[in-house]
Amino acid sequence: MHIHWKFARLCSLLIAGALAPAGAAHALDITLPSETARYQPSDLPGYRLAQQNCLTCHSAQYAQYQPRSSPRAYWDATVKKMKKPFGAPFADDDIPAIVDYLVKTYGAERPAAPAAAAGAVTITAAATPAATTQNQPQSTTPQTTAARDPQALLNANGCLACHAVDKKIVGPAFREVAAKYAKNPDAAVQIARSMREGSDGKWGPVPMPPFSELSDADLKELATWVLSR
Amino acid sequence: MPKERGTVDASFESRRQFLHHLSVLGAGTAISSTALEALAAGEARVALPFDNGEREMATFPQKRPLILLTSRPPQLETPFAVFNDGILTPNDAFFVRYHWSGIPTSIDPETYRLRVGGKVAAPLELSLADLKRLGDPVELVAVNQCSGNSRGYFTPRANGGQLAHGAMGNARWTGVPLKRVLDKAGVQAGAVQVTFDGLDRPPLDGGPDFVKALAVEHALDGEVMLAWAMNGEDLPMLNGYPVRLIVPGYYGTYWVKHLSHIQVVDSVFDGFWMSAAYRIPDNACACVEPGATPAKTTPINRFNVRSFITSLVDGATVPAGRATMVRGIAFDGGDGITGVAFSADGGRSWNDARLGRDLGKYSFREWTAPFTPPRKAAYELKVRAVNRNQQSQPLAAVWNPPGYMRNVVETTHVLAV
Repeated sequence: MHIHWKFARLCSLLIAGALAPAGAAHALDITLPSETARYQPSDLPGYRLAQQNCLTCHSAQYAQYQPRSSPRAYWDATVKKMKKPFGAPFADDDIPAIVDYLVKTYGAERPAAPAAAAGAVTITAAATPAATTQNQPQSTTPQTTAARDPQALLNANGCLACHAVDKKIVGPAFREVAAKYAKNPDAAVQIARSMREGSDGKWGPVPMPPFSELSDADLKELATWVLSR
Repeated sequence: MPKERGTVDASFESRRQFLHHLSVLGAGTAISSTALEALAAGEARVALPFDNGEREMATFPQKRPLILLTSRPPQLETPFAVFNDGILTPNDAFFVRYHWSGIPTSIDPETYRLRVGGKVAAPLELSLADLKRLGDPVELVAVNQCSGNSRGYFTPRANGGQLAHGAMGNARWTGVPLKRVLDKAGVQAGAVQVTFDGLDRPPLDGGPDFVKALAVEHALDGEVMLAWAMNGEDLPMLNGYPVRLIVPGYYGTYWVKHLSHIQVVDSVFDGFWMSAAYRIPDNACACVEPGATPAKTTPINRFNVRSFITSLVDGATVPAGRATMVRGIAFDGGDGITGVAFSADGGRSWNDARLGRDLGKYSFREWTAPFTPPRKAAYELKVRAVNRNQQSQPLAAVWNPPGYMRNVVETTHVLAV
């Protein structure tokens, strides 16, 4: 009985193998196109927070395409929903600034402006990161800790929402970055530039937002730390 | 702002199709100046006919250029002109909707497994080949429609994905009845619901995984399917490769993609996507006064009745004194469309349209109606469907907070010249 069963299974395997067309059953792989939407640059402190928190999980169109009549209560409820139950790791203290940026950029409290201006900011791949950076606000909240300890910098800037040492989360693992730049004599400068100006297209379709408020010393500290993973 | 349903992009393929539409529709079809400018300038952008409705056209894997709602996760809307090309929506034009950005981009059909567990006699772990060996495959033509299809037209506006009418599609699905799988596992006494999870995940730990639930009786009705093919081909990745749930007549939120885990449970599943999201006012119209909060809500379920003119876009011109054959589609939640009425005078008088071939009670149903404008003037065209259960469409839009289930009689303005 047992032998019969095994024999029957062997037969079915052989038949299946004979019938399978050559080259069948490859994995289906897709490559998603690069993101083009960006949060609208603003001097409001919530701009930086939106880039560094919201973009971890979703592209900017979620805010950009809401009705421009959306009131502050909508943005407040939505930002809070992103934290709970959706699990976004920003601090409660950051919520008012994010809401303020969103309602004044995409919602009912936009300053009277040409209708097209605030609604749809889309930059093409050809637009340079530098062009975006020029519109960056100057640092409004000092992010530099006195000690410039890498762990403190990682925590203060939300780096760990997207990156881990040894695995890809949204962005590449720090070890992957270190490996890619291992033989590059200019590595620290290039990584520091990617942190300050943002980066697009090196690691897949998800862009890295610019962290323009980081000081040269902080950037150097972080780049050195990443390269030693 | 001008109301235009037409969408335009500038890729070669779509331009060819667009020009084809022009010739099919005849010289009388008006194309808005905005759309023509976009075409001329080679800009891949469209303007949906509501405030802040400007969108990019984007080309995703296995897809033609579609209206980009969001990039991450991908959410793509079908340009409305596609619905005039045929009763089945091509796979490369079918809309895409995800909830979380942790979507699968590589799936090996050899190692893919579907687990079936919970209150069953024999938990299963099925490969794609196992599923296909469960018996003769079944086919069903069915509409998939997003709960928030047409949300952009809500007045007052409702927050959420600001969609025009393109978050729907009609396809021939091939697979096995869910009942066949559940019977193999052996649903035990005390089962209340069946939950469905796919391979898409929240990008960070802590977010509620996208899991949906159906009553066990519904799951065992023999119509709910696990499909591996649409329109005779493997599912595109973004439509749920290698297997998705098909819940005929129900909103797309239940049609879980990349289906990986079926769990039979002995209580009403209380996950976020059932207990907090996708809920409608628990009354006959699924509606409240604009701005009001529903006293009681229930999970969204079956489609209401809808119908559309597809052969004329808003703002089109038609020849006065000559017959133009107007064409469109109608569908409902599965009772089946029994009639479509057409009005050329803003709803004051109605004539029966002629129904096209019946592809099944869950399919789009084509209709045609002759329209001969007696004089050179503006006309308000309306179309209103009714189903076997005498359900129809309201003449004035109703409202609910999440912007779900729009089914008002739509109006297409045309000019006879």
